[in-house]
Amino acid sequence: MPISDEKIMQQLMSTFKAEADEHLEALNKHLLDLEKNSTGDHKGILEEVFREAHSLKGAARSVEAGAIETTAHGIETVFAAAKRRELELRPVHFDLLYEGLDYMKAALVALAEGVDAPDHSGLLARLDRTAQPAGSSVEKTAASANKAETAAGQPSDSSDSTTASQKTNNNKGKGIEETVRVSTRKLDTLMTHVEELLVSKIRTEQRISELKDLKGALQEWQKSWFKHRGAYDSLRRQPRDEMAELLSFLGENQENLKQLWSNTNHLLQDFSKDSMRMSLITEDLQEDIRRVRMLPVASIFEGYKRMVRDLARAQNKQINLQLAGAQTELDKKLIEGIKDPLMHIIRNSIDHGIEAPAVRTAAKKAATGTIKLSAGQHGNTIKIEIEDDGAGLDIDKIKAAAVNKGVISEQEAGALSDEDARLMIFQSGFSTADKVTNVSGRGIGLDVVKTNIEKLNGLVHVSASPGGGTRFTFNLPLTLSTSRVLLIETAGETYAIPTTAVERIIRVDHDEIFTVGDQAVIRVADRSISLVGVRDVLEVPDDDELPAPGKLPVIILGAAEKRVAFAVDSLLGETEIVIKSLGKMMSRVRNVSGATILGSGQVVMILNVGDMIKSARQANHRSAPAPKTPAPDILSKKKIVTVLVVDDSITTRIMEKNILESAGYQVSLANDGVEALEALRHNHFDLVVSDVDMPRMNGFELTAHVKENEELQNLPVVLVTALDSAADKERGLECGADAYIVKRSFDQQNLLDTIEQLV
Amino acid sequence: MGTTNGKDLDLSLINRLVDIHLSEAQIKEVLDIRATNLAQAPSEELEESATSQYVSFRLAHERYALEVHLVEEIQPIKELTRIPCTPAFVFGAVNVRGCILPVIDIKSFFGLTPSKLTPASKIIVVETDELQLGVIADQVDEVMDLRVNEIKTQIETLSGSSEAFIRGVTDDAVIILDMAGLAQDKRMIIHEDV
Repeated sequence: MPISDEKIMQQLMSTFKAEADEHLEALNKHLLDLEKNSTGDHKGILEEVFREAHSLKGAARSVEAGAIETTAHGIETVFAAAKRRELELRPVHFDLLYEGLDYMKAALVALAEGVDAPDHSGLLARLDRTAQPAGSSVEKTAASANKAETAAGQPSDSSDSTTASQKTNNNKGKGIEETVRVSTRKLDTLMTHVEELLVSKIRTEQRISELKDLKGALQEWQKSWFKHRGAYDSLRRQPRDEMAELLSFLGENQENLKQLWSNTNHLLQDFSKDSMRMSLITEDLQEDIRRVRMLPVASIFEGYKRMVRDLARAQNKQINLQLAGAQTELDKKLIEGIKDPLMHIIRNSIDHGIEAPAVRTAAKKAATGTIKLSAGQHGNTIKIEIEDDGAGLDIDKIKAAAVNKGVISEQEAGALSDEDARLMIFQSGFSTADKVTNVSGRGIGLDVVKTNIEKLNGLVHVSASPGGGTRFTFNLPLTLSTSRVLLIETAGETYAIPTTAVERIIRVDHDEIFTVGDQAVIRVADRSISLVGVRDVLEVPDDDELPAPGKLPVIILGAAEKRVAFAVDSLLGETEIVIKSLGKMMSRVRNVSGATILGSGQVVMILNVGDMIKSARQANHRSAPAPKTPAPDILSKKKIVTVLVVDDSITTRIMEKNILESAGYQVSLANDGVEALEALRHNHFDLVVSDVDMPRMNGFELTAHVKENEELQNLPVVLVTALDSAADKERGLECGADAYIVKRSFDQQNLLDTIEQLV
Repeated sequence: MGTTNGKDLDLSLINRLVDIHLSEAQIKEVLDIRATNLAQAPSEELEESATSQYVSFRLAHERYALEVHLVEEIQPIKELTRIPCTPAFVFGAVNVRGCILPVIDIKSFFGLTPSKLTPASKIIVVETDELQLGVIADQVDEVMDLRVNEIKTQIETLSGSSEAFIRGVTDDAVIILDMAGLAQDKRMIIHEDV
């Protein structure tokens, strides 16, 4: 068995069982329709049954349920014959087809119970005979070729099917976990409720701090009482009648006050405990519900193996498909969403990327080409890569095609960097394939791939792989319903931007902005990027507010191949949110993809980055493109980056040092803010990573010192802290920190990604 | 305020008289006439005599009312978030128990002076078959019973598009909105591409 991880296989089996049930049900229904309608126009139904049988075959193949696969294949060929009008379906044929369905049902039950499927060689033979009406020699060869292929693909043909299922059983052991199918909508509702619970949790925390205030007030009261205690006692020693009552009241008051303080204190303690418990459970619940929607990418990756094999054979190519990170889990909707785009790119690789063995040998490459399909989680992004060691994209051909189609002028083509040229393949109607083959060129272009990925809030990128081939990268959010966003403020309103689209956050001085034509432009990493105000894109009515002095926070957003820099008023931080719809009335709002409710209850609009980039381009008049310079090669940036790590905990210092050094940074250490400033005075550093809570001088103070110092103010400071309150985050960003990482969400990649963005 | 033009005067006078001196004999007489009419034109007359409940609210100097059965709840407005790139009548969005509700301004929709948000502003949460939305109000007054014949439909001061969404005006110059009709209007669904 190709998969090492037994758990994945088990999960796959459960999924398969549910899917197979669905297909069988649909087949049954369509077959009944077809029988009723056998003389009329039933082309549509035929297509439908054919597709169902085909899908079932594919699903069965991916879990190596040989008995079901072969039967589905037999049924499919019968339908294929009927589709070609070589076979007229008569009652006797229907009987046979129903028998096939019943057999598959039985085989499915057997599979679930872990026993062998009954023998079905007779059934297969009859299906085979039905599909090949006498005298149709063409059909015969096609069918037998098909059969041979099945035989070559795996050891299971009709007679071997028992062995195949046996093998499957041995590997899986008995029993498939029983499952209940729940609509994702229901899960979304659950998620919404949990999110509400999270809001309540935050409110509860607010109540705790109010209780603390109350306790403090009572304490103050008691203190001031103690101050007047002497006067009270001396008055009591010389009692006067009219005072006696008042004095005894005061005495009682004192007792009551004490009691009240003690009660409040207890309440506060108990409430804090309860609240802590509730927040733990709430967070677990949220995570559990999120996980319920997750599936391993193996559920689709495995299916491509056969496809690659078959297509490679059809083209006489030798291709090895390597899978990595197949156990990476993704939201079910995302899995469904990337299935077709992935298939398309793999087909492209086989068709255009990998060369024929002879060509490869001549080029001193291994005769067998490799397509690497890998998935992995990086922070809150899922990265999926399809890399081949084929011929790579022909830049000249792409440029020529672009000029030919009038997308760019010949002059522009000359100035176009390789990277930009590569990105042009995502434009609609763009195909450089010389001829249409049945592998690619089915009228589905890479632009559809791009659109589909963007629908999932993801990004597509293409680059040259180190081996000279092509590498496609999909960057996707971890889940669809929750998303990490950057909160920004512009014109007094808060907006959320999905972090997957945020390529960089920089601070730009007003004199670093120049104009090309009538377009504001900044230079970032030797590239010109047009700069637009978020408020302009969002059509915020102009007010007289002057631009804030000092550096302007700018975020560079990317969607597919386009990048635009957006100026905002301030950055508020990063947070996880649940994406909510704006309701039926707001069917589609320009530049807004949805909304969310923050912990405080505040409603915040989530911006649609694709729209914003389009809007920005429309806002900026089409002017001459800024002079192109060759794209910087990240790999060639060999300069050694020095990092100063400041933390009072030795464990943290060492851990961070290890992480950073293994990523190629040169690391120095400091114990606290004072030491850090001392180090900065004497040595040059490219970046500071600092804890917040430290003796002598804390991280906020250190940051403020750095940012006030003329020589150091451009030095990026990353605050790493256990303080996860919005106020702290805000304070961190206020005092000029360039990034703020909360230890709880602290993982290596997050830190490394942040640093990479800053230096 | 509340001026009735000559054409409608007689009708309103009769209505008032009926309201004030409601003796049994009069009721019987009215009922008899209605019974006769009822036999001939059932639906029309039934509606005339039926009362409906309306929630009335204020926006600047005007009073509006909408059918009570469409009103889910009335909420004080805590925080309003602007929805960028939407028409002016979209006042913003609010959080109503974890759901995000778009809020509209009737006056802007009718092309009148846009309403302003005040600390006393309320949101009337309306749910029709088509949409759920909030209607901004400076103040929510009362739930009032109105007979269909108390709502005058011949209004000269209203014209154009807004007329389609107004059932009529009462003697007290309360503008009775046709909220269900308004929710069906094409303009209410925002669907725009860049």
